[in-house]
Amino acid sequence: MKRRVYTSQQEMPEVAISESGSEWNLTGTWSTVVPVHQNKNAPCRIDCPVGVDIPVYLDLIKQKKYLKAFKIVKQTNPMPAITGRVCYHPCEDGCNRKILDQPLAIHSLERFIGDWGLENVTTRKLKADPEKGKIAVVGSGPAGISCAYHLIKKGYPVTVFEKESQAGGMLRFGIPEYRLPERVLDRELKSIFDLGIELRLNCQVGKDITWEELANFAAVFIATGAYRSRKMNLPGENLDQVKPALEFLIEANLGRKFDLTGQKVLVLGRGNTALDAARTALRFGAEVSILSRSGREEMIATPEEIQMAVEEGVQILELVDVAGFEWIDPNQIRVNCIRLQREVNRSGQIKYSSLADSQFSLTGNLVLVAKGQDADLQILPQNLTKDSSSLEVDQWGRTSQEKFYAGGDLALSNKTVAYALGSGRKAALAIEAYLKKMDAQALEENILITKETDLNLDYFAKTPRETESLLDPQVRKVGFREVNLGMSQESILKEVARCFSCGTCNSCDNCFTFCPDLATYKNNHQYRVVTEYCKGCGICVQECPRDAIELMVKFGEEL
Amino acid sequence: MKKVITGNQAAAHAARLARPDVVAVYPITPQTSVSEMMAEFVARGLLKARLIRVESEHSVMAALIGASMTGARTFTATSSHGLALMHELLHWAAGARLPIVMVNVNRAMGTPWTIWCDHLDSLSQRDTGWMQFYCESSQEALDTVLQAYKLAEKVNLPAMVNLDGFYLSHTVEPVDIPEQDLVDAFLPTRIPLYRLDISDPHSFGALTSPEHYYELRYKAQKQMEQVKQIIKTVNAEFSRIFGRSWPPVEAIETQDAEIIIVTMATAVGTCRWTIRRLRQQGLRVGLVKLKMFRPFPGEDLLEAIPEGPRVLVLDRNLSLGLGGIIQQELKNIFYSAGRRNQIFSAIAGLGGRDITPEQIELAVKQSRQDMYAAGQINWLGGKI
Repeated sequence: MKRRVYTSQQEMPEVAISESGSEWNLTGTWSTVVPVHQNKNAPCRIDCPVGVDIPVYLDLIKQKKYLKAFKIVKQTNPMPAITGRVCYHPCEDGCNRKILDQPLAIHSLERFIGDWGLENVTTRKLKADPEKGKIAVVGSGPAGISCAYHLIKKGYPVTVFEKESQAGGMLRFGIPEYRLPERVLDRELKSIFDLGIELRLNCQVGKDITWEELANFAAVFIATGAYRSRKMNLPGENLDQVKPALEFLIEANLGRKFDLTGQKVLVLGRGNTALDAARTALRFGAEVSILSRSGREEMIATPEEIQMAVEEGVQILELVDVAGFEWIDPNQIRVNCIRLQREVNRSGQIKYSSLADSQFSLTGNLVLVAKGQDADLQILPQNLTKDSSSLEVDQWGRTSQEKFYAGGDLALSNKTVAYALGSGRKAALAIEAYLKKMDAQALEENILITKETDLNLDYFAKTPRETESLLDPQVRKVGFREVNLGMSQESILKEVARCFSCGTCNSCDNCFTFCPDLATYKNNHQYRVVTEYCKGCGICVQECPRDAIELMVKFGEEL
Repeated sequence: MKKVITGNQAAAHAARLARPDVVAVYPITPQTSVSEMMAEFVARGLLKARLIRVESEHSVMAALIGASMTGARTFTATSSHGLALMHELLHWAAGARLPIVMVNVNRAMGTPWTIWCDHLDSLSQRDTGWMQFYCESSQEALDTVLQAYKLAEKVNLPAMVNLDGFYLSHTVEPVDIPEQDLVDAFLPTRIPLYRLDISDPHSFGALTSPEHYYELRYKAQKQMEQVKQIIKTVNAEFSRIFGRSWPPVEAIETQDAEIIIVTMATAVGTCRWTIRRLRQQGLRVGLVKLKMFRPFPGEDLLEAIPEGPRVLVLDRNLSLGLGGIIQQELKNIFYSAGRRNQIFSAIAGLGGRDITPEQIELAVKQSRQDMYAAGQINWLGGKI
């Protein structure tokens, strides 16, 4: 459109009245910067060891587009129904919402969408191409399953070797029924293996099949877990009444019905295994005390778990160290203890030291020791480099030997389901890169993170976090029914509406509405800034509630 | 129908008879009774208009601008500081060429805080592009409001009708209130030059580049210049219908005068009486009434004041740093025309001080006898 310029006053109107639009006026030529719609990573996603694109799937739940939301979750996380129950949700620690009120209950929303998927989505077998290279996965715990899942989705044929008669690893043997019901586990695993992953049960590598045979595969991912309970090196620790907590949990999970009615069980430890063992023993009728070296606040187990255990009747003895065990009779044991004191030094570090003359002893029928687990490195090939307790891998799960990768508890210091899943996914990426002769770094995303200061909080009202319904403590302790019943559909929608969608455009139209030059065009929920008219004022950047627009310098130096 | 009413009541009756569509009001002494009466007319169903009560005079004018742009006939009344608060929008209304009619009841500017009359409030708005008229009597106030509508809508410029605060606004005299059908015949429905219309959308008053602003001001000036003639045809038509005439400049006994007083508004009435007395004393004194201040009727003044006599300008205003505003404008006209009449300047009646016949007589005598120079200010009636 051309601009009209009058050549004499006679042809002009009497007042300043528009005769046409102002498209001739290319205001964009005035600017040195231009806004660019650019999604960033929300801190929840960065803090998620699996890398789930949380704000995107939450936005889809908001829109009740559950199938799309489920698919987004499954891009990274093969088992949301499981992680929604058992993950200790580091995503919520990073949630920007905490600066306004409380972080979002992301785990409840993940569980919701995971359960929805189990009910509504049927797995179709994927086509795998043997020409691309067959992959062996050793161990069917979360790390092995994650690696197998991501590789089959990329079209690689995968065989999983499992020495037990059932798949699942620590998910099946380490986590109690009341936290992760077997029916949920079975359905979730079935949905994954049905993609076309070959599962060879009762097949222990190194015994039923040799490592040399596995070397015929194009790549091998080892995720044999960490099942060896750490020793305390204390007098009496080998007595029959002293038992590793993990062993106890595995037996319970395998279906053994312990009768601990009227028995006193002492659990040593302060992590989630200690809590699981304590609550399981409680359900078998025992009176249970946890002996923790630290104060309750500094325990490694999540505050929710501790809270629920206390509700059920588990006693927590803080700041207690164990010096040894004494045999009383075949059924009884004395535990010699000493009290600790807690000191905080100048740099905020907490130190525990023995309190003089504070020795005491407790009598119990059974002691369960949860002082951590190590991997059994003896079963691994000799030529892989190891340190004292774990296998050496880089951030991509690469071992010292080409084509051998490892992850999960075997290789990680953070022995949780989420980290195991993440390590499986990363190794799958690295294996793909290896087979395609690419650099694994090239597969890593350029990470931009939305900080809470980049948000426009004026757009969000304070709204309290929704709560999950829990089984009554009296009902809980007499059986293994799932304790956490999740959120109602109503609560799910209320909770998901609290999500800021940090760094993630959700087509709120603010940039479109506020543009003073009408330079933001909208088409099918996508925005385009017309640089001919954009003056670079930055109003859209300011008014974007969620930091999904960046101001870029057109020429010259960076801002 | 003749009624004994105040100047404010006369102005309000005129506004009612003009049938405005929108009246926006905000009170200020000494104008308030105009607004009150308009509200009463609307409340009693005597005027079918939208009466808008707003929170300031600035908003009054903003409301009238918006209404006027839709093609509505509009009215308001204000005074002094209220007028000053409108200042920005007075420019806007004139630039948008909107025929808004406003009564301003003259009140001096504070501080020193005052509610009484002088003309600095309206004269301070002389460059805003509004036509300005000053009234000598309540009848003239009524008739001038009616003429202002006719004129404003012909030339698409806003008009301000000024009444001296208290002297005119609050004193009573017999006024002929014309019949509605006569007014309707004189003042037909407004035909706007442009109007806001959603079926034909345009933006008005938007950013205008240097290539066009100049010419738009030129056109407004040309229109203002034409007003000096058009007002005469309007007055002639008014005179035919109503039998009263209000020329922009009125000359009284100027032909043989050795000295001619020039002044505006209610002081004119005092001067009419005073020159009769002076003529009885044998002094040949004339009087020129300046009714229209914008556009400034220079040609009419040159015609009304012959070459030769001295001129005494009674300014009921003071432009600090200069002196009387009317004398300055008159000098401009005379100098440009090559006229060498001696022009004497008296400042009188500031802040509601009475301008008395004795003061006028004194000023005439002092001017005649060269008791002060033509370039000096005669602080008439001041305790100097």
